[in-house]
Amino acid sequence: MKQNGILYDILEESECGFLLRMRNEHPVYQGHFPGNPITPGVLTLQMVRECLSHLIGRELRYSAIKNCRFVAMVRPGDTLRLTLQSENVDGAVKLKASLCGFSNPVDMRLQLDADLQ
Amino acid sequence: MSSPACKVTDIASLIPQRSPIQMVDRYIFEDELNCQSELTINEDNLFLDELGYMSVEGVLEHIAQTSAAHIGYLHRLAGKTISLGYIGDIKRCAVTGQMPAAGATLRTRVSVVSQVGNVTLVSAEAAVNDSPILSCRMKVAED
Repeated sequence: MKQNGILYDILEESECGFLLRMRNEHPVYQGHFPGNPITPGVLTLQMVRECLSHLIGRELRYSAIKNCRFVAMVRPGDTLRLTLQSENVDGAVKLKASLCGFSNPVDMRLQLDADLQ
Repeated sequence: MSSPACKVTDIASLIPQRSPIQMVDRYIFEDELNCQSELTINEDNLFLDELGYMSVEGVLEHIAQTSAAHIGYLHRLAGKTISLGYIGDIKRCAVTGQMPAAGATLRTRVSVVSQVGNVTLVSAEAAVNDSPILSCRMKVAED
């Protein structure tokens, strides 16, 4: 997604997670949806993958998604906390991740259980 | 009795997504529970990586929009308007082949497993050159 403009900024990072802010402007919002910008769910999945790749130091891709729940929408301007738990098993990275906003004490947006390589 | 297969290329009449994230070129209605779709991957596709290959996320968006196009087509047959659709969840997703590069044509088959209220559960398989590359189950919710 970087080649088409930056979707989000990393505000803070640590070994177990990231604080992210969605940029207000990105070409994808012209089409998703016209006049009603909503971050496509698959791009939040991509954001999780990019952050994990950044943390591990190599480009990863999904090999299996056991469960991915899109609990609530992500919109431009949102500040989000991404929590990552990962372990290496036989060359694959097993990941459990959650993405939360700050609108209320829970504000879950995404829950993910996936394998990457 | 099933209707004969019907191909739609005016995708904007079936789904609300627009360029640069319209990820279906052709939608083929088979019957109320089954459809297919195609996407020829352009070089400026949003989901290409730096080496020119589509990401898994791009294939999942293609599946989601295929499902939305099917729901939209059924709405059109019923004389209803097209509504916004969102992915509710993705399960049992297995990547079984190499992701396609620009110029390739992605073909997807979607079958409706169940529909409860405004939530449709589908089973999907995406392929390139008749070789499966990804399968999953996906819930699509309408606004």
